[in-house]
Amino acid sequence: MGINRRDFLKGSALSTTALLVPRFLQAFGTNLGTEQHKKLVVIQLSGGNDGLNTVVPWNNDLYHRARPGLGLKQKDLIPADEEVAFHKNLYDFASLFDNGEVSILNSIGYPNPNRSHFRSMDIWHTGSDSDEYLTSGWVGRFLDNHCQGLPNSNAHALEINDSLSLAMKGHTVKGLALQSLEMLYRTTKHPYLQALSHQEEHHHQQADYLYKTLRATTESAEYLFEKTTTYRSRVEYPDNELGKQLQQVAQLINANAVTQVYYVSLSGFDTHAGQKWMQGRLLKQYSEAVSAFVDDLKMGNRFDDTLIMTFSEFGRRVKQNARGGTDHGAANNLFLIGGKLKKPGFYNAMPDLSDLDDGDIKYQIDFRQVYATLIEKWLGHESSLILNKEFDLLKELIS
Amino acid sequence: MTMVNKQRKVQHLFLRAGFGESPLKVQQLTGKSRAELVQNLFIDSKPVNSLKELRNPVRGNEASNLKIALLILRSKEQVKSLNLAWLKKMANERAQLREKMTLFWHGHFATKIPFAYLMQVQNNTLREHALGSFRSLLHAIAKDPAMLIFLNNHQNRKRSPNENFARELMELFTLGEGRYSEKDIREAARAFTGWQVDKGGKFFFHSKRHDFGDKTVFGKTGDWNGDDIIDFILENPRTAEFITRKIYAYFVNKTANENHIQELSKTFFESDYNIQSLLEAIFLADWFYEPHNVGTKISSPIELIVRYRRLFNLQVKDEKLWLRVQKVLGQMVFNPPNVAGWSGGQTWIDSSSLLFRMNMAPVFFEYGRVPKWSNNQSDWSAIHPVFKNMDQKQLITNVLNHFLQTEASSKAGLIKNYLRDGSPKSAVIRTMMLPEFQLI
Repeated sequence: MGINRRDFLKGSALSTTALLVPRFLQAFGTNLGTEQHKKLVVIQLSGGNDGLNTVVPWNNDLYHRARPGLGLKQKDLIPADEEVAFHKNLYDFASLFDNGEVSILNSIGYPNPNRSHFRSMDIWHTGSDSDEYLTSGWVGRFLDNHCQGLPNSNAHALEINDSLSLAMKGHTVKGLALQSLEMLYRTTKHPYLQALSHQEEHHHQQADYLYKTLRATTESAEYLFEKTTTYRSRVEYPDNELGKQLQQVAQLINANAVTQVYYVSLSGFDTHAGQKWMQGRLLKQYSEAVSAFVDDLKMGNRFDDTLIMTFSEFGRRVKQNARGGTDHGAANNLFLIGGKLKKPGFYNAMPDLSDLDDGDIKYQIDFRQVYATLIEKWLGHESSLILNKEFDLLKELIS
Repeated sequence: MTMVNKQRKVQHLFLRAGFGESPLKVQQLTGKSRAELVQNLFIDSKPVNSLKELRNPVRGNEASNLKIALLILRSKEQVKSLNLAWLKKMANERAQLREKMTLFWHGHFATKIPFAYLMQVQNNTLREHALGSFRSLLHAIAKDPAMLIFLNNHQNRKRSPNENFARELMELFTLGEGRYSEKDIREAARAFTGWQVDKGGKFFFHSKRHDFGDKTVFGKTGDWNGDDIIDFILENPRTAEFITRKIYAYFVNKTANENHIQELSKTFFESDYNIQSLLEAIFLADWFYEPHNVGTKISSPIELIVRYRRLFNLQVKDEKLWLRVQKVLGQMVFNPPNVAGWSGGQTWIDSSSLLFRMNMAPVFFEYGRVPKWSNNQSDWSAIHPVFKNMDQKQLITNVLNHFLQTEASSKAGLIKNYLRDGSPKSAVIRTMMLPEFQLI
């Protein structure tokens, strides 16, 4: 999907000739890779979602024995098959599953799992080993390697949030964080900020960095805002945070914005107590928001070009605790949603509850294998540059 | 590069060694000698005023399991009050250097556990030793309950040693990567077995879990305990160099000058790790005030927030606002990103954090429509008198000199075009919106 005439004219109206030329040339260059039209949307469930009460081994005695009060029974479930059922609040999600638009990957984790939220999230964000501390994120390194020097380079990865997560920070290019595109645009349109963003030539190295960041921000805000004026979503989203976030993402994807990776999150999954109600409420939000998002992408004919990955920093212990909740665990499930999945359904077997690591699910697939596969097979780039080493790709996952 | 004038040098000292001083104070201090200013910094920081926000929740010697579970549940809220209490202290405390140095150690010995009271205990330990001896600080931190819990030392037992603490001790706290072997770590971990925290939240030596056998660390064999290991680490001048490098990066420049580092490390090592002498040597050195070291540091979110609060004695209606500001800017005290602390420098800056930083002044002082923000009281009495009876040109030049650490006279014209009115306040706000204001 190249630049069409309309886009081209729009671009020229907005930018000075000096800016236009490289943008025009680079858009047709090889820099972007061949898969630039493909979009990756990451949904982060913060706090450690209890994967076992999300995708439930409902006929497994070990499950019910470990969770006498918390275990979900038939009335709380939507069965997928003899073995596995979904939490009943995942009604819309289950329909996507039935349509062959969901792959469920079980037992995703990493060696020597860390059970601290912030450390484990750090590991997922940076793609590090569990005893390694990296200062850049995996999406950030995608930007470093493939988007540096492009027009609006920071707009190639966008997070809907009031601050930018580590995952999105590269060494030289950092993604863009915004809560509302319109608000960001209006802020950058402040005449004084506009004037500042056009200041050039700073011999002072740090000042130069700040001015460059400012300029990149105002330009990307303008670019994205102008882009989305061409598209209005007609799908009704549920009235929750995730729904609002995904609605903005759909708008950008459907408007054919240059952004390749989107990052959104839903928090509150740290269910040490009163899990049933809390998790149920969140899963409902998740399921409804994602379903509206998929509808929206389908209406814009972009669903086949979009892959949605949902993860959480860890799963929870198999055994329930004494307060109607679960404590921090290790490996967990991960979901891929898209129109072009090679192996929809259950990608691998459910976790073996008879073979646990100190009461936690053992990992079978390293989460960085998932990243590597998405980078190579979906975004079309070499993964070892981004992940700092080679990981075995997951076969038959995406085409 | 132009010369750094006397006023900017004074500002430099206070921005780096503290959180900045008001224009009025700077005006009063500009006549004083460097030696006198530096000496006063240390005199002001002599008193050790502990944080006393939280009370010890454990009465008697130990807490029940239920009580411990309750403490964990309550900790999140309590850490918020602790955070705000420390921020307030940084803004109001006379002992600026001590607070600044406590903040440095807080990042160096980055810790996060769900027991707010123990985080306060650690913070007070850091404050107590902040300017004293690094030797005492290191021994104290190795017995600090929060640290031991954070680095899983309760799992470090004779039968199954846990290397976490020994590894971070060498890699992040003292020697730095590559200056020890894996064997040193394994053996050192055995020396720390049985160093635990009791149910009352205090350090205790669990002798049954301690490995009294011989260990070989750095080529020395004997029945070493944790204190011995720390002393061995301190015998190595590389430790002095590692700490000096980090202090230099924090107070002087992220780019090291090897001559200065070698000289300072030597002084630090020979003074048996006296932190005050090291800092004194830095603040008194001519090179500290050279142009390439002035205005070259991107202020951390905490430095920026505390600077605002001190400049304007800023009182907001709901203190929780400061939590939000910290979150958006990417640095919350008592909530480090990981055990390696905040990496600082350019990592503070991304599109959203930069815009937020630039908009802080107008949002606090100008826009009436953000009630949460503008419902505040600011005190301009340490600012206005410095800029009275000036024509517009003088006003802008003087505001730039007082609020920026870099040469930015080329921005005067721009500021003039966007002033709301002729007041010093308006010039200050426009100046604080310049990206250069982020540089200290």
